[in-house]
Amino acid sequence: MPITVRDLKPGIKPPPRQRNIASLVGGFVIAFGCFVLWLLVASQIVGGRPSAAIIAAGAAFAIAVGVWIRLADL
Amino acid sequence: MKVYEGERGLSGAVVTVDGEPLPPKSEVKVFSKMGFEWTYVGPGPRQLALALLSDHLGDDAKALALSEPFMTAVVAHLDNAWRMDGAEIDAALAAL
Amino acid sequence: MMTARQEAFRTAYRAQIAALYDGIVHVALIFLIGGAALWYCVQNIHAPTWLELLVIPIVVIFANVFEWFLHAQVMHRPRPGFMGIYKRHTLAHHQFFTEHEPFHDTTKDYRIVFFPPYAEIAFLVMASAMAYGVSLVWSTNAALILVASAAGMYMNYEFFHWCCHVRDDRIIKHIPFVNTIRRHHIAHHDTAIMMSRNMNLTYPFADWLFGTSDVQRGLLGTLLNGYETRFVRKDLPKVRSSADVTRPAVPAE
Repeated sequence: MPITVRDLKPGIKPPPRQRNIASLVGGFVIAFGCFVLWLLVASQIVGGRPSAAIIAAGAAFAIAVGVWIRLADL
Repeated sequence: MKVYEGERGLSGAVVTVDGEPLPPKSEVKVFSKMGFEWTYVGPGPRQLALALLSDHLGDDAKALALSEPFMTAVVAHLDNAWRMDGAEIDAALAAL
Repeated sequence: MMTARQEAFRTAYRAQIAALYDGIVHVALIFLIGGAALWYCVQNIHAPTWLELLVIPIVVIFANVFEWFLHAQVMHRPRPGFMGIYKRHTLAHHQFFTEHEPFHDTTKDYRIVFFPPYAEIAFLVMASAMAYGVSLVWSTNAALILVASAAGMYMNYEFFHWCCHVRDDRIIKHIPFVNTIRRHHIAHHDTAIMMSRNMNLTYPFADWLFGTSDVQRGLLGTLLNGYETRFVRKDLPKVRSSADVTRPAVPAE
């Protein structure tokens, strides 16, 4: 989508939005990073190995963040 | 007289001659495999200088010889969106 | 004042932003991730020695030079394997924000102000890899201080960059370092110098060190220059053959 001076003429619309592959890779990377950080912070707060519920909540949070990254094409 | 235009946009740094993509002249010399660029001194601007001069002069050897000073004097100072015609290139070459 | 070209670019760019994107969530994620890493590291540092604390200024200087290098040589140069970063920065960020109109309008525009959060994860992974090496040859404290400092510097970068592109500067213009980087970075958005000068985004230390600042001052003067324009170099280049024919005309009296 080059925004050239010629493109400034009326009637030319930008092409339809396409999701970038970077947001797919990024979604996985961020989900993994968030999960690791969740575990580290949780283990620090509870002073040991976090419970299965806390780990499951972390996994749910990480997946939600990863999915949002993809849907938001960030 | 041919009109050369360039502009940075989301799909890349696009350069045209009379509205058609400007050939990079990689058969003459490959300075950059990453396409044209400008507003600095480097491989992308060097390729653009060669391509502009080759198309304008119609003489690859002369274009190659003049590409370095033309890049430094002209291509290294082009705006985000720029436009030049043959007369401007001639004037810039005369001033080198 | 915005040119028609910049306005057209902004319209086209905004049309590409996904409906589910939210600028506040984007920023919250960046600071949550950085904050969590920083907090975890600090919690696990125990009785650091002065030598271990020296890791902080070392990381600050290293991150400053790294930020300068990445900006100058990757974000502003088309390099194989890094074209995504170049396109996002030179071909998008610098068309969206110019020295004439460097400010964002809504939080949707945060899409082009802040890095995507995976950049932060990548930065923290790099810092953690270095920290692992430090822990092997030196101490866990030094390793944790390294990662904490890196997380802090990353958030510092993002915050200062936001300060450069926010319209309202009533507070910012009075804060040392922040006012300096704001003028420094807005000047960098001048096309004539964007590929070669003012590459720092936090403190213009590396720009001073490598002679790429647009001001001619000593180190302290460069770092604390604020909005001052008296020291801007007189030999800065100007653009030529501009096709931005819709540049704003001089307003009528």
